Amino acid sequence: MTGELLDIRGLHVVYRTLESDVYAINGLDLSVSEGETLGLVGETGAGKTTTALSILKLLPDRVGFITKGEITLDGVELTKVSEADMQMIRGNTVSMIFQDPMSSLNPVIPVGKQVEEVLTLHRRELSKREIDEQVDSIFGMVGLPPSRKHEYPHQFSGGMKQRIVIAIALSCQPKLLLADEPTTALDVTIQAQVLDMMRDLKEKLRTSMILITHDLGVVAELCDRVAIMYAGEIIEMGSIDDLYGTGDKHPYTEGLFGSLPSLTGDERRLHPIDGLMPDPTSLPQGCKFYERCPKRTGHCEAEAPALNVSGTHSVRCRLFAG
Amino acid sequence: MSEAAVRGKSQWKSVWIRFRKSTISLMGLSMLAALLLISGSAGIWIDYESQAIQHNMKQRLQHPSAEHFFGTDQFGRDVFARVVFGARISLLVGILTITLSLAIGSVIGSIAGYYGGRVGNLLMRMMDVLLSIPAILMAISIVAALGNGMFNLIIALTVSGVPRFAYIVRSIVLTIKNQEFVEAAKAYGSSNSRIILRHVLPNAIGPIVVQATTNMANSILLISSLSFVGLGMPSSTPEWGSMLSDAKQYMRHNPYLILFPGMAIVTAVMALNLIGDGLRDALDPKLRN
Repeated sequence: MTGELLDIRGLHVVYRTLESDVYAINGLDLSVSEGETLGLVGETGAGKTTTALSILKLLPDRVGFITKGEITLDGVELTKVSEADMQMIRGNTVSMIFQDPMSSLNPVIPVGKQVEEVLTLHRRELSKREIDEQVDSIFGMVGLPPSRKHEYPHQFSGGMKQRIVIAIALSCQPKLLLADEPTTALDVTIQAQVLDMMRDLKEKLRTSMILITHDLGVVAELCDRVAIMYAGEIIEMGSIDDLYGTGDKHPYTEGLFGSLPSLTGDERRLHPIDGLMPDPTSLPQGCKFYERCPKRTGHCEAEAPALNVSGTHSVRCRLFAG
Repeated sequence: MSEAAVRGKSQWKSVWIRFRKSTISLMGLSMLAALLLISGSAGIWIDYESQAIQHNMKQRLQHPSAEHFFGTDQFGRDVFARVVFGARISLLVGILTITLSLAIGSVIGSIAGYYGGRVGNLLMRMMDVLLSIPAILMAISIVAALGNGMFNLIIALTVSGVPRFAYIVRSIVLTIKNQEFVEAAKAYGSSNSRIILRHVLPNAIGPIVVQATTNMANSILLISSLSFVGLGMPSSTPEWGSMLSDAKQYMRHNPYLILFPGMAIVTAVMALNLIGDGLRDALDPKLRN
């Protein structure tokens, strides 16, 4: 696919620890076009954050390795880019919002300086005054009074801190924004505010976004497409209608939706998916969801299912073959 | 948190507010300020050559009086003048030593902590070797090899000070480098050296300052000890340790010869330790209120 902003092909990531090799991502294909928002959903340990860190090439030193695959961002093949060039890409073309705003700001530097830092790194041509003006306008953009830029992170509330983090991420108007559970650490009312703001900014700046979350409600509200991750691969991908509609879905996706409590029904218990994700140090040969799948057949254990595509909807499951 | 700490622009302001609450630390600070002031301005109102250096046998071993506040020594030199000029040496050598070992130790500690791996291991094992030799023995052997004098004294004390700072800085860097804001700084394109300088070290400044004050107290003690055994400054130079050493033979009849330099050492060391204690409390976020 050409014309895509981000294109990941056959990505494999391994964490090599002293005891064993952890296969975190196993043949991931993913693409995001300009202005699009993709929701990346999956349970803890499915490889969502690892995917984001691979795009930034910030996998932990000497532990995380991209063993196979290509990541093309805005026409540049990232796996071949040197660390020095990568520093110019980070924050400029692609930016990341981290999960916890409490810890992703430096406690001893005034927040305005922290926004300024990104600009001084990537917009060398700007004068001191122009940078000052930029910082003020970015503060206004995320709904914070510029007069508070001299204050330290501990003087702000959680929601305001996340606004500052978003301001930092958007200050150079990146083409792609990776948001790693941007609202998980916030309480529900603030979550809605921050999400609204992100949607507005995204439309205003025409930024593409990968939104990592396990909140299916947030995805429905913000995303154009959804990808469901399980054990390091994408098992289902499609438009919001494909996944939230009444059509057939991957058994795991069914399980995810089934585990949400219903507001209208008269249910007394939650419906979790039984079992755990397979051990990433020794993955099963066949379908990775086999152990927990309610619709499994004999073939599923031995042979990994292929990706079955129909229109915008693709599913990695034998049930959808042919 | 007090109102000023919330409104104030700088953390140091709130640190100062907490520091001020401890009378005993304020006492230490004023003692150090007095020492710096008196020794700094000494050149104006005391003539170094005639009072502290030249022998004046007619006036030898005089007890304290209005003319000689602390009396005179066996060569007729004014003890007050020598104590005051001695403070210059101790403080100057102390400050230079701390600055040097802080700079070198921070570089070594940052590299070892941030990059880790083989290089970090090698650096820290070298620090281990330095630490395994007692500071005084290390200083004695270095001065013995290089000879007396202020410059060599500074080298000797720096060598024994570096590993302590390297260890402190490394341990702080290790805890800070895994925090999310460092990851975030990488994610918006900061280089490693920029992260160390702008994000990691500023977070380490509290413990480093505390270590620096207590280390400076130790350095002052070491300078005096070395001079006492004749390995510090040349014996004509007014220095607290060598004054004590000279006074040994006269202390029975002229106890003030040992009393005043001794008190000077105690004052300087105590002042620095009190300041260090106060800073430790003022900088500890767990004790903030």
